[in-house]
Amino acid sequence: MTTWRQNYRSSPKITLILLLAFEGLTLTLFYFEVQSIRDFVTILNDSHKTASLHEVLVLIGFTALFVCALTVGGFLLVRAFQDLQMRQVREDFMNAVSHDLKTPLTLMQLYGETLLYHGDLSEEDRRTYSHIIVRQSKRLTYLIDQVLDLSRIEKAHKWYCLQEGDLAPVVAQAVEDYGQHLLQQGFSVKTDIPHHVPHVRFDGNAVSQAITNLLDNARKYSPDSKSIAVRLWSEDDQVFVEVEDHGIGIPKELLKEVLQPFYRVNPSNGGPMRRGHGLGLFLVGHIMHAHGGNIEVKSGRERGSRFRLVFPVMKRSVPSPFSISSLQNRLRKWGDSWSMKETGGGSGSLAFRRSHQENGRSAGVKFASRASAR
Amino acid sequence: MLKILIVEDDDELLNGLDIILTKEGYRVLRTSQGEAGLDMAVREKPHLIILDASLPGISGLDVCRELREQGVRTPIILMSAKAEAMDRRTGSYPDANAYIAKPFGWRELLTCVRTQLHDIERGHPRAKSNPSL
Repeated sequence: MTTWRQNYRSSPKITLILLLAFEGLTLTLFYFEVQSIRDFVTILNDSHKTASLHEVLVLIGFTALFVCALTVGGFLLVRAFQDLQMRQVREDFMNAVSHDLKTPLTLMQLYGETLLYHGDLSEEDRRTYSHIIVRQSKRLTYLIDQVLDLSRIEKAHKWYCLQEGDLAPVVAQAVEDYGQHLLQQGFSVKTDIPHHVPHVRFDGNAVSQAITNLLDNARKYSPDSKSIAVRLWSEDDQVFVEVEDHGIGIPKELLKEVLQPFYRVNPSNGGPMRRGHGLGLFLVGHIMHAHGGNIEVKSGRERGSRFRLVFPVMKRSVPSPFSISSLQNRLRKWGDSWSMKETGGGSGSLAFRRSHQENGRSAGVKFASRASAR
Repeated sequence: MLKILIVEDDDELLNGLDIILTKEGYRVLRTSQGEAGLDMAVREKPHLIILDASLPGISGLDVCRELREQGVRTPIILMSAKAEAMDRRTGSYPDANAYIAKPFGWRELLTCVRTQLHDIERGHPRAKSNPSL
């Protein structure tokens, strides 16, 4: 599978030149192939002649070369088509990111200059404008983080620091943080979040990002029904976080597509495409994969969407305290590309790093733990 | 009071422009969609239109072209994030009267708006008699 990064680096001109060269070669081979077949048929039709070994080998050789050239030509054609598609996707992505980066910058500059040059502003106006600048700087940071995360994922440099803990306060905080923004836009956010759920292993920042992305997605695709629900519960050794909206929904045949990078849902009523760059759900999917969990999507056209994050509850199969040497043995047995190092100057903190291939991409997972180093 | 129509799909920027231009004494009409912008430009006859170039659906450039085809001669300021100074020099936006590149500040915005409304604000007879068409 060709990744976005590989396409980004490949040159369509080179692919096109190679394609033309192979097409020329294929045509030449086709000419010789036809000649060989004609000679061979002539020999077969002439009862006085028999095909020599040399003539049979020539025919087989030309046939093999012709088939090879056709295969390579077909491969290059597909590759050239993919390149063109990816260039378009990349261009759209860059335009969307450029627009989305410059919009909060514009607001910051507008209100910053107003504060600077307008001497007669009331205290309330000053406070309002300052709040807008702070909010836009957060929006900018969020967007930059998303783009940087994509870059890190493509380069297999995205790490998560997984630690055991309770998801409830993290989920509540993420909803509260983004909820302010939703309330300002006229949304109502209904929450069902208990005080505690069984411990799971998670990266707090990444989980917050995943929930923010889901809420942002719900906001973006709910033009009319501005109601969002967030639930957290545990069941059968799993912890679930669910974000539900009543927006335009996703057609069932496209449910798998929405987790692909750069994918955006077209409104079914033919309305305008929503502003965005198609990174949010892709990053949520990556985060959940790194947590050993998954993301489930239930949706239908004009029936809203329900995104469910599933975290596996921690099983205490590894005795604690445990030794570094026994862990190293376990890591070797797993056979994947795991590495482990002690951090914190012998304080017992361990950092684990794992890199593997997923769908042709390199991916990385890192988690830290405290252990008794013996 | 001079009327300015803003067509911008980003709610926060739309609010921001609304607040600032209202504070400067203009009456602001606003919409986040190109189709509604077209309709309001014809129906409300604003003195100036501020238009985002890359609106989802029908783009700002299309709105601009459509308005000119309908004979609307209202000055249009086009806002865009992706175009550079080169686009202005090479005339990539022939239907717009002015172009403002994001990010822009309060001073740049007001200079651009006042330049476009210059005749009307100074009470030019031609502007007074038929300011928008």
